Amino acid sequence: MAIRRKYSVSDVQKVIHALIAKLTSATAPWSSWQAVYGYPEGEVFNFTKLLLYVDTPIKTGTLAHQGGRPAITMEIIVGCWNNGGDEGTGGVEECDIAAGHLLDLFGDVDVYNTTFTVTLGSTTYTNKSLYDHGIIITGSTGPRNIPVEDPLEYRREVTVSMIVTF
Amino acid sequence: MAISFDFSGWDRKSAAVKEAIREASKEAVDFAVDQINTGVTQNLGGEQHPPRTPSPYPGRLPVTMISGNLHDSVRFHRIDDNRAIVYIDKNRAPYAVHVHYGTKKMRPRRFMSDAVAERREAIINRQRYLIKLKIRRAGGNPSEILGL
Repeated sequence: MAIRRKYSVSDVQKVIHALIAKLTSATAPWSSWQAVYGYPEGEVFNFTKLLLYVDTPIKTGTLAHQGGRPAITMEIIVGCWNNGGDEGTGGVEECDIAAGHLLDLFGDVDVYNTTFTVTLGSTTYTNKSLYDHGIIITGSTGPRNIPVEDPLEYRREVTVSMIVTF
Repeated sequence: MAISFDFSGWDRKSAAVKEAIREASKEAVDFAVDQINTGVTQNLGGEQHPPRTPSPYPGRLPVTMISGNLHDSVRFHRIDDNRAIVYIDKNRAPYAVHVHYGTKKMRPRRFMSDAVAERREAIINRQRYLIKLKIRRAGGNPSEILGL
């Protein structure tokens, strides 16, 4: 269990980002996309790839149980943002493919098979899975179509629910 | 000689418990609407600043006010006893969706999702409490009825 109770918000965000960054670094079709930590700031839009951004998680509840420290339930928004237009980065179809992959990733036990390296505080955890970090995914919903200003931009968001144990 | 059976008391008790759950549910929805409405309004009640001036604290809640239209556009609608909706009047603040989800140049300020996340547990706890209370008052045993 690597997630620190007092740093749970940033730790969970880092772990989920590291998982997605690992997939985008190696596996097709994920390698066509770019993982971004936090909400994409203006400069990020210079990337030529579709963005997968991992927003700040929100605590939604506490799971108290006898004989142990309570776990918490959290929700995190993982979005995809295609800003390259129809010809640049695949248009609306690419955005929907990315959203579908996110939904599938967090809706399947395979999510625990991917191992990745992440640094939490001063400790680096090498080749650990979500389960090793004490995160149990309970579901994913979406994608929600998010309105954008530019007609050649496409944005979708998926909400991932999880139990975080310490 | 005859032995008669009369279970009509169960029927009355069952009807009373059903009515109690309906009442509890109605009150719980009222509470939820009030909580979410207050939460969203608070999240939209930030510092006021003049038009075409930068926000004193960009990208954070509560959302700063320029005209105050968004702050005044929170509405709710009761659909039936068990359902209600808290929403933003699109005619009054058509830009609400961009403030909530963010744009390329503006960080999101999820004034609705945050209000829900913040108050979800309190709403569920209140609903649980009200249902138990009303069932008990109607002569039922909440542990048996709700399987607790």
